[in-house]
Amino acid sequence: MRTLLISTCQEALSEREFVRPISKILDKDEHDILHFEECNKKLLLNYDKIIICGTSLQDSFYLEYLPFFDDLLKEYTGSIIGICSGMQILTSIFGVSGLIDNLEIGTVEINTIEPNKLFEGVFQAYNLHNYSVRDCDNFTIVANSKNSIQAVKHVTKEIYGISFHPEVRNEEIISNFLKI
Amino acid sequence: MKLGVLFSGGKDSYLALQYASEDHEISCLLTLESKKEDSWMFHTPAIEWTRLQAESMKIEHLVQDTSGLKEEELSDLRAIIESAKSEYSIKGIVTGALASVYQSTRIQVICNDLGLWCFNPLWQMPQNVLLQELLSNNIEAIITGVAAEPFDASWLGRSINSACIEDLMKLEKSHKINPAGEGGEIESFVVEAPLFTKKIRITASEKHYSNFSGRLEIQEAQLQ
Repeated sequence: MRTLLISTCQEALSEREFVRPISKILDKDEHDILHFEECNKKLLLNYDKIIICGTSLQDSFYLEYLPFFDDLLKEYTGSIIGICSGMQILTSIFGVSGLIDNLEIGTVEINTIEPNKLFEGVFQAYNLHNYSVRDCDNFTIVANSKNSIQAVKHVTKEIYGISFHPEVRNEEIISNFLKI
Repeated sequence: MKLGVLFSGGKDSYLALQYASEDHEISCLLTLESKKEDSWMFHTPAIEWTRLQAESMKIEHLVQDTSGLKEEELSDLRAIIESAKSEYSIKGIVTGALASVYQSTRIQVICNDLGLWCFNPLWQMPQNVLLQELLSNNIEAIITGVAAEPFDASWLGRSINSACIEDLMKLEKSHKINPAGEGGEIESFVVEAPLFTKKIRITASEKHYSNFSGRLEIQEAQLQ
């Protein structure tokens, strides 16, 4: 079993902040880290799980590559979790969702509204984003906050999107994803 | 990208600066000099000596006084970042934030308001890894402040070398301290590092210590 961490960061310096903390949580679980521009469909076949990591607030480079992500991930059959920018990518390509301007920085209260394999109940989580996703076809909303959709799951596939950063204070969400 | 680094002179802000300098141009250091000893946001002991560090690294240095009162510190922080943006045309800010959501949230808000990138290259780094990074990068920092049991006055002025790190790791087990001082247990000051052109030699200092809390007052220091 091998996991791929995909970086969405335009600047390599941001990877220390958004990719390495996830890699640290995976620790001894075998994983590789690649920037999305280094990925292709054939290469993805080596992995049974993919984590698409978030990026800096000023970084919207990844949004120019939605057609690329669509081609890269559409036929992938393993489990995927997208964090922040990763969630926006996944709902854009699998759910055809537009994004809503919604700046949120800091700790927010998350309410679980659908039982799921990643988390439960009410908890605090760290948000750092300019956009939220809309309610869209193919995805069920599994958690929200007062202002936005915080987590979604694909209706048939093991594809999850979470708006907050689990690497800050909610590391077990990553561990739970690895157990799926 | 031209960047400004929030710089307190301690090991964390120096290490963040060094990582950022690998890919980016560091245009200036930004230092808030807090008049209050237990600042909410900013590391305080030895902060007036950051000017020697800036001189050694040959990087422009912006210094702003701050009262140390909670909300005023934030407006002072915003003011110094605005000055760095207008004077040096920086496109982003680098911080040494490790785990404080309080600290990083506030800096993220200011950077976002000013349209600046915010880089936190030490974010979520395990403290033992951070301490090892100091050794493997030949960064020499000394302890300038302690604020937890069981630190005694002998820790003040101690170099954070491998023996010191070993002792800090023991205290993590015995007294649950954060070994890199993330909870404010220790404060540090970098005296020698790869980006320094000259080492800082402290020639006069005085320890102020009582009841597990103390600081090293640097009275005289020079570039060697």
